[in-house]
Order: sequence, then structure tokens, then C-alpha cells
Amino acid sequence: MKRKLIWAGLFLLIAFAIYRTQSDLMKKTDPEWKTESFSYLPGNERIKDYLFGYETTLSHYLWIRTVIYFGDHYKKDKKYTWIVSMIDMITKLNPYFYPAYEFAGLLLPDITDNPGLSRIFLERGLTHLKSGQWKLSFYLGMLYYQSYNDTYKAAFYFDLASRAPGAHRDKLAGLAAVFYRKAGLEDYGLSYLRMMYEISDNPEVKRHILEKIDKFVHDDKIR
Amino acid sequence: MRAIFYIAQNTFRETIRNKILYNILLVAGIALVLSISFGDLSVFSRAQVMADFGLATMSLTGLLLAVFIGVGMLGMEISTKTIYGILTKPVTRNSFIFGKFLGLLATLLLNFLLIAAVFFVTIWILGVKQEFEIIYAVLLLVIEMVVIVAAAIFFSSFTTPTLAAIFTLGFYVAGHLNDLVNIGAEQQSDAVWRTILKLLFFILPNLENFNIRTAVVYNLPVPPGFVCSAVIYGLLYTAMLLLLSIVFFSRKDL
Amino acid sequence: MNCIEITGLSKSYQKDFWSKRIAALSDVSFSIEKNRITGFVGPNGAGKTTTIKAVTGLIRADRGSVKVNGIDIKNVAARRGVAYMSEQPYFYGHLTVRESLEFASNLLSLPHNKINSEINRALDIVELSHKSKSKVKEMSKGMQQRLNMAQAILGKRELMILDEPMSGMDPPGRRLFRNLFRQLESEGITIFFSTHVLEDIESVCSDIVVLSKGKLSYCGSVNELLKKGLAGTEITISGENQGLNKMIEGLGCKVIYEKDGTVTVIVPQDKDRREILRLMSDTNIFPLRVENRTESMEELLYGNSTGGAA
Repeated sequence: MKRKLIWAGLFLLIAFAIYRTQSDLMKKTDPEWKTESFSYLPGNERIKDYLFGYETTLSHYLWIRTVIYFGDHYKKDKKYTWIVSMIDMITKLNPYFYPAYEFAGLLLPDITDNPGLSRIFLERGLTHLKSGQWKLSFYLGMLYYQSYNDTYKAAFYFDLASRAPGAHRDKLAGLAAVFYRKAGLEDYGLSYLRMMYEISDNPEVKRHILEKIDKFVHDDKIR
Repeated sequence: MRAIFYIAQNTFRETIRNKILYNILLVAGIALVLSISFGDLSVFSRAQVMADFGLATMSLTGLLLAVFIGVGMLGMEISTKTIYGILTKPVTRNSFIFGKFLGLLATLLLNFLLIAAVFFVTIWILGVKQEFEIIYAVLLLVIEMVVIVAAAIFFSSFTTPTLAAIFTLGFYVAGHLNDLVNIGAEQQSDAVWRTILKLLFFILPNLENFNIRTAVVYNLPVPPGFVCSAVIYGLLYTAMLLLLSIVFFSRKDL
Repeated sequence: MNCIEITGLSKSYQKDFWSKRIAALSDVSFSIEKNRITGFVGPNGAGKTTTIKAVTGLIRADRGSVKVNGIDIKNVAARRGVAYMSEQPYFYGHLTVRESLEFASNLLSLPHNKINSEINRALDIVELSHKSKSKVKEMSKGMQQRLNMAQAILGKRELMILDEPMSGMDPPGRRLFRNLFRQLESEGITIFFSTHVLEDIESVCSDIVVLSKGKLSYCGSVNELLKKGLAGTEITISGENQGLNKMIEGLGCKVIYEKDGTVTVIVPQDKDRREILRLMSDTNIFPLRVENRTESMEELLYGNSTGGAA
């Protein structure tokens, strides 16, 4: 019995010492070490050859690290040195990973002051993804309008978004038509709306598009 | 004490005379030289990449040595029943575990020393300049290996060699992903889940404490006392694993 | 104080997760006296190895106690002065004969200055001195078994527990071991060994312990067991008179027709052999041989069909 008590005491003592040491180490550990360790991963597709089919798994793991990195720096200093590399690595390892493209589309223009980076990722996403495409097209449209003031490109991508599965066809069609007009393509805009009316099956959507056609024509007359 | 020494000596002799060890060493040496050379392709940050590749290869080699030798030695001892000749003499099971651990440790340290020598010679030949702090990174790799050996012995004390090898590899992976458990715990709103995850975080090893490769290679500041705390953590965790090994092994029917 | 005291020893095993526990030993109690050679027998699966493992501390019993020289086996001190020789020789393949014995000597904490002389003595006794530099893995099984014995006789031992020590040995080897047992007994060492070869029991053992299906069947002296086996008279006659043979069978005797043409008549202990002899004399049949019949050790221990000692 005495021996068992000694062993139990020793066990508890070591467990407590481990807890204290770990707590001390947690205070001293710099999370930057974790991110820096990915910084030199080869930036090309060659790395896939060495992953033996685990590239998707690695992409998911990197995504988790990216989210943590973003959150840490958002709270700290709003400096995201490695964010672009990480998104690049994730989308190269796993071109079908939608959240990475959405993140790039929504946040990169603001946090990096470089809309070109966002554009590259969104275009890459459009190339690979079939479903969920409408949002990426929409973000691209917004990017071209807000950052490049390119109304034609904006209209083009809103048009693309409106035809994608799952999209809010009526709203996007209206937006595309407005931007076609801004780009000086009123006739094309109207034809586009009529075509969208024809191809829509949903009566509710048809009704909304019809309203937009009426408004489009009315606005044209006012002009 | 005498029994511990002679069991350790016998274990050391047994592993040194084992041909498999030299095959692993040869492969490790070649892998090390190649990986450092590949770093040359990096063009930029050549020194950092080469040093880090070298350290990463050493880490993986240490893991392989610790798993295959650690698990193999104790498991084989039980399956070939050479353990009968020891435990039927006035030798306690505690002495056996300590002796085995020390013998394995001596073997692994010797082999790791050889691999480290290859590493330093290679980076010197390739003209890669490194700071003195790289020694700390190597030291912590050694401590990590000590923990892995202790884990291998712990798992071998109650299960078959194959399962023990799988558990030890799982231990390594879990140890390197453990910080995610802590992050998950901090995100939890439910107090019960938070407590469970926190408990899991402290029970599982945090092998990332022994990973300062990035900091050393990129000359990032290592907080004062970090290396010392990490060494203490490693030794404490090893002591815990050996304690648990003794508890399980003392109940094992041979 | 007895050398080994086993009280209420029980041990069961579970083959796999879903199977029931099988009792290997059920409430076994016996003791081994000092300075005697005790044989330990039983059919396969009787529980001999389990008992020996419990006595040497290799397994923990579910219930009961084992004491060696009055000390509980859970205490490491109980193993001081106790030698164990396993059924198969289990040695490290990477060691030589001398290195193996040096390792064993160090574990026994023999004084450093006495190790060499002890090893030489042990190797001389088992006639392996010429092999001291050979690697253990290069030796035959019989030689490894001798080495096994050599490590058992290192140092000052009071008790030797041997699990089938003569398994795999050739006849000269067996003779060597039997002589060694007698010599060790004369030096005051208690020997407790298990065996399947009953001739070994009869030739060297003074006591015997018999296990059957995990339970104790018999524990006592060999002579007492053999006395129980006195089973009447054996009379050998020529096989010519069939009518006489039938009559003898009718009187409750057993008649065995041998290959050489003779007939062996077994007169049970409860029958008067003089009656049978008179019957033979009346028919002018004279016995070729008359002697007291003793059941063999095998018959005593395992019986004709169901086994178990008398």
C-alpha cells in the first residue's frame, strides 16, 4: 500500500511539473515560427510529386494554419506577410478548394492593397470550379469595377455569374445589364435581359426580369 | 543498479551488432546529403533551406530509429523470451525497463551523433554558414528522440510490437498537431468541451516544443530560457512515460 | 520451513477478447521440501508451466500465494538463491557462451573477482569449456540446453527450478544431467523439475507432484506412489492349453497372448494366486515365470483411460 502511494505521488508530481513547464513554454512560443516554416515550400506543382496523394490533406491543413495566421495578425498588427504564399500553395495543391478562392476574392484586395493578386486567384478558381462559380464571377466583376473601373469586364463577369447554377439570376441579370449600359452597350444589355427572360423557367424569376426589362427601357427613354 | 547497467550494456551491444541499424544509418546518411544538396535548388535563402532540410531529415531519421529499434528491442525480448533469463533472477521489472531504456538511448545517441556529424560536415563542405544556435535545434531534436524512445517502450510494455510501432508513429503525429487541440479548446464556447480539450492538450505530448528549426534557421529570436524549459519538459514527459511503462509492465504476464 | 509453499494457487487465461476465461490452475496447494529432488509431472495442458511461471514470478496468479524460502514471490528477494532453467534455451544470439554467462553472473551480482572462476566451473560441469568462445546461435539445441544448465548452476543456489531440463538432449546428455542432479542434491540443493519422461522421475526423484487439468492429483514420495501400484501377480506360461486359459479368464484373471507364443496371466491383487497356480499344476502346466506385478509409473499417473494418479 505504501509503495502504491509513493508511485501515485510520484505520478502526480511529474504530471504537475509537466503542466507547469508546458504552460511556461506556451507563453514563450512565437506563432510566427509555425508560418515561417511553410515559407520555403517550393511554389510550383513539383511538390505534388512528393506527397503521394496527400496533397488535398496538406491543403486542408495549410488552410487551417492560414485561418489561424490571419486571425492572429488581425488581432495583433494587421500585417499578413505570408498570406498570399499560403493561399497560392493551397490552391495549387488543391485547385478545388473553394474557401481559399472566396477568401482571396473578398479579403485580399483590402489586406494586400494589390487587387491583381485577388484577380489571379479568382480566375484560377473559375478555371477549376464548376459549382459555386457564380460567386467567384461576381467577386471578379466587383473587383474589375471597384479596382480597375472596367465596366465592360464587370458586366462580362456579372453576366457569367447570372448564368451559373445556383445564382440569383434575376438580380445578377439586372446588375449585368446596368453595367453593360455603363460600358456603352445598351442594346446588348437589353438583348441580354430578353435572352435571360426566355431561358428562365421559374415564373417568379421571369417576372422579376420582366420588371428589370421595363425599368431598363424606361431608363433608356429618360436618357 | 548493477543490473540496470548490465542490461543497458547488453542492449547497447545487441543493437550495435544488429545489421538493420547500419542499413538505416546508411539510408539516413544518403538522404541527409541529398536533402541538403536539394536545398541548393532553392536559389534564394539557400543556407536556410539547406540547414532546415538537413534538420528535418535528422528529425525523421531519429523518429525511424526510435520507433524501429525501440519497439523492436523490447517486443523481441518478450517474443523470443530472452527476458526469462533476466526476470527469473533477482532483477526487478523496474530495473529491466530502466536498463532497456538506457541501452536504447545510448545506441540512438551514438547513431544520432553520427548523423549530426554527417550534417555538419555536409553543410561545411557546401559552404553554408550557420549560427551557433543551430546546436540548440539539434539538442532539442535529441530530446524529442528521447521522448519517442520512451513512448516506444511504453507502448511495447502492454501491446504487440506491430501495434506499438503504429501507436508510436501516431504519438509522433499527434504530438506535432497538438497545438491545434489547444486552439480548438480556446475557440470552444461550451465549458465542458473546453475542459476536455485542454486536458487532452496537456496529456498529449507537445512535440512542437522541440521544434525551433525555423527560428534558428531564419535567425528569429528564441526567448530566453525556452531551450532550457523545453529540455525539462522533454525529460519530465520521458519520466512520466517510463513510470507508466513500469506500471503496465509489472502487471504483464510473460 | 519448506523451500516452496504454494497455497490456493489459481490462474486463468483469456484466449481472445470475446472468449471466456479458461482456468489453467484451480486452487493448487503443495509444498516442496528442502534438500530433495522433486519431479513435477502431468499431461499436456495440466498447468505445469503455469505453476513454474508463478513460482518464478513470470506471471501473477489470480488468487493464492507462492512463497520461496518463506518470502512471497512478489518480493524480488525471493528470487535470490533461486536458479531457473527454461524448457527451451532462450539466449541472446549476438552473445558468445562466455558473454552469456558473464551477463547472467552480473545479474546475479556475483563478485567481479569470482565471475571467471564460476564460469569456468559451470562450463566444466556441463562439458562445454571447449565452446566458450562460440556464438550461442551457432550451437545445437542440446548444447544450448547445457548452456542453459550452466547459467542455472552459477553462484550459490539453494533451489533450482527446471522446466523440462532434459528436453532435446541425447542419452549421454540425459545421463550427465541425472548425475548432476544427484551431485547437486548431495550438496544440499533443492531441485524441482518438470518432465514428461517418467524414467527420469523414477531414477532421480525422491518426491513427485502430479497435476491434472489444473488441479493437484498427487503430492508425496515416489516410493509411496509406487507401493500403491502393487497390482497382483504376473505368471508366464506356454500358450498350449486353450481350455485352461478360458478357465483362468473365468476366474477373473486377465490373459494376454504374447507374440512369442507365451501367455501372461495377470492375477489381480484380490485373488489368491495359489488357486491359479494349483489349477495350472492340475493340468500339468508349469509356469515359466512368477513375479509380483507393479503398475508402471505411467499407468499409475495416467491410468488406463481417464488418467489421474492413484
